[in-house]
Amino acid sequence: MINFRLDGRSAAPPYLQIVQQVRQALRMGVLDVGDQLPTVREVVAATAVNPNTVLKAYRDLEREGLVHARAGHGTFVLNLPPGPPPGTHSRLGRSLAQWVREAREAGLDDESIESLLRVTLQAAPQEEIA
Amino acid sequence: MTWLTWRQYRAQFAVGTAIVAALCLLLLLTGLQLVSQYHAIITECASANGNGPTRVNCSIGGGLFSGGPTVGFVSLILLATPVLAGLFLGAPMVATEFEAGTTQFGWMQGITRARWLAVKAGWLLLAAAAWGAGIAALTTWWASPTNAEHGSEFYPGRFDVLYLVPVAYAVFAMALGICAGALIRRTVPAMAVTLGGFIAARLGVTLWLRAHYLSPVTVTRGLLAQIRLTGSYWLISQGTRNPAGQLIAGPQDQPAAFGVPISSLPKACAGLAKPAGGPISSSAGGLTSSCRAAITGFRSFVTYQPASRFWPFQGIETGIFVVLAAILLAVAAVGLIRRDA
Amino acid sequence: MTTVIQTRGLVKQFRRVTALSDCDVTVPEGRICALIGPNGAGKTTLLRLLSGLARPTAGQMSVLGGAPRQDPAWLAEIGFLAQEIPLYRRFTADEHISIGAHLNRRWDAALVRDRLKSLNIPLDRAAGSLSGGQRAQLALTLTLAKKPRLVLLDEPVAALDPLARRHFLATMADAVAESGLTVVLSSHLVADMERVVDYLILLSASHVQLSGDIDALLAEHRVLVGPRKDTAAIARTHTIVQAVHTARQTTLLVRGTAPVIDPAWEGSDVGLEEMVLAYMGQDAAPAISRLTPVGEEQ
Repeated sequence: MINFRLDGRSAAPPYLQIVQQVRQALRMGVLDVGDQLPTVREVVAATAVNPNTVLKAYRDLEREGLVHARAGHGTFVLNLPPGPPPGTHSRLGRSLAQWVREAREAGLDDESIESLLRVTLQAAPQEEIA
Repeated sequence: MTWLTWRQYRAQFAVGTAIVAALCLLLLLTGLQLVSQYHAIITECASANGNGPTRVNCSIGGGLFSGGPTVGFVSLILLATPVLAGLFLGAPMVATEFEAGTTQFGWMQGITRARWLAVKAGWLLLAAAAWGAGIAALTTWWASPTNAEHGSEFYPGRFDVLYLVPVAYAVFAMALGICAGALIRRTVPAMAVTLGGFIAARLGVTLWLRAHYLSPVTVTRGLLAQIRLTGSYWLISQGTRNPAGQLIAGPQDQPAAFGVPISSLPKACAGLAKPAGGPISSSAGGLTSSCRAAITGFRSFVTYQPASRFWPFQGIETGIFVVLAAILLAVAAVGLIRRDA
Repeated sequence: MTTVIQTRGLVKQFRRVTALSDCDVTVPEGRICALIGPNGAGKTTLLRLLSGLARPTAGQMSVLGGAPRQDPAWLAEIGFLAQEIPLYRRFTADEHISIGAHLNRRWDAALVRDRLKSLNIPLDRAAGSLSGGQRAQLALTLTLAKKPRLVLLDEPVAALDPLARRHFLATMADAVAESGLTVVLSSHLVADMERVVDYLILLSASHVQLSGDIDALLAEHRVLVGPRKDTAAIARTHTIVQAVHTARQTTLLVRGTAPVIDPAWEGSDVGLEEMVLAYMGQDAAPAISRLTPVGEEQ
């Protein structure tokens, strides 16, 4: 059974933290297909979060196809999240290392590199690859 | 709401009942003492007179039986008693809840402020009336020997502790306390206002209003005639007027006849002067026919309320204080319901 | 969507002080609404007006379908918890439960007992001898036991330690989850309540400076950072809520949905506390006099 931990100081809003923690739990094997997610009341009692926040997170997960809400019974895991195709991580890691080398040669320190990365992530529209 | 009232006040009701019981015990003990003293004096007087125990005869000279300092002491307590419930239960009733903030709790449950006030005040008024009635009944029994002896039921100080009016005073004091607490919203100032208001109302009514509930009766006679009043009348004033209509000052330490200083009488009556003491009667020596002629223009008068008016007066005064209580409760209700909590 | 609270032009005047001026407030059903403002802003006054404990000087109010009134049916639907946690100091929790049972039509005594037991709060100790957190929990559960549709809480967690605060807010949020209750709770601290509230009313200097659905409000506000420059261009497309200038840099908090074209401005999202602080600095009535609530279907 998953136990949610909400970090008040994180940049991510609470509902997004719930979504991310469910996805992480699925990736790590803490949750498996067919398992029931904690009820809204259970999450609220444990974290003192707004019930609508939990509902919103579960709705998002349902839209992604990861969970399914059965009226009166609860919310259950439907699918595991898709991973990237094999070799993607190593391929992207290599080109990233190349870019970091370029940036350092241009005179950027680590902090400016991180800042640039953050701004780019925010500016670029996020698309979930289904 | 009745349950809550009982739960909140059960300690105070117990204390109040204990105090009433103590007072009743005091009345009982002193009353029995008075009764036995009274009968002893009657018997003694009768045997001294030799011709049967007739209270009228034994009262000649008045004050054979006064009950001593006990009567005065207990009477004082009885005059003060009606205000106690209003002071210690009525004034704090609303004021302490405001001070503690619990009105914000009670008034946000499922009952209206009107119902909250009505039930609480209702029970407290009932308690005041019940305690007042109990003490009044016992006081009436306690006072009967001295009343019989002096015919003094109607007099201020006696009238106020007998029969109906103590109940009305107690209810009035309770209503005054509740109103003060509801408007002032702080306990100690409300208690002060309750005490002051009660004293002012009682003094005002007793000293200025009571004599005029029904117009007093004035009886005028010549100096030589006797004005004989019967029963428990209330003597309001008496005096003598000279033929010109002026009031004659009463004798201080001067030699007097017919209740006025001899110096105020015409010269023809100078011979009435007697050594100190002794009553004057028309058959005494020294009343010459010239004196008798000279004083025909003099008038003595008595202004009084006849004994037959005792019960109407009890009723009127009871009515006044009950109406005052009702007005105070209405003001309290408006003050609670229409103002911000 | 039902509106549980609606006020228009609400004014409350005391002898020398105007506590509330021209307040328009809307709270939809099922929300947990934060009433935020600095001390003395008028939060307690507003809650007392909504609960019927005080009367407005001017303006209209509709709470649970009508003006607050001395009607047992209306009183049964609303709960109010004052800041001082008014309980009868001599009475135990059990006795308070009995009082509630006698004075309310609907009363769930088991709810109170179960909740207090799960928090290890003794039922047979006088309320005056419980700790602050225990008293607050007792008062809250008593308020919830009458099953109201709307609950108004005045600074309920200000005096509580973090654990007591967490328990209090969890109990409250659980009641909302279970029964669709609407809650308005006031505070002068945002951080306490940030994760539990989804609606905002911001009172400052006796005016409503901002109100609406929190997610929608946050989506409408942005922080713009750029070199020190003239803000007239931005002011045409956005409302500037707060502007801070240093010698070299200008930081703006703006409200508006139009995109920021000028590449000199670096934009970022704004957090709830930052947004609230910017508005709490307002001294006068907001520039837009009739703020429409954000995020509602009109």
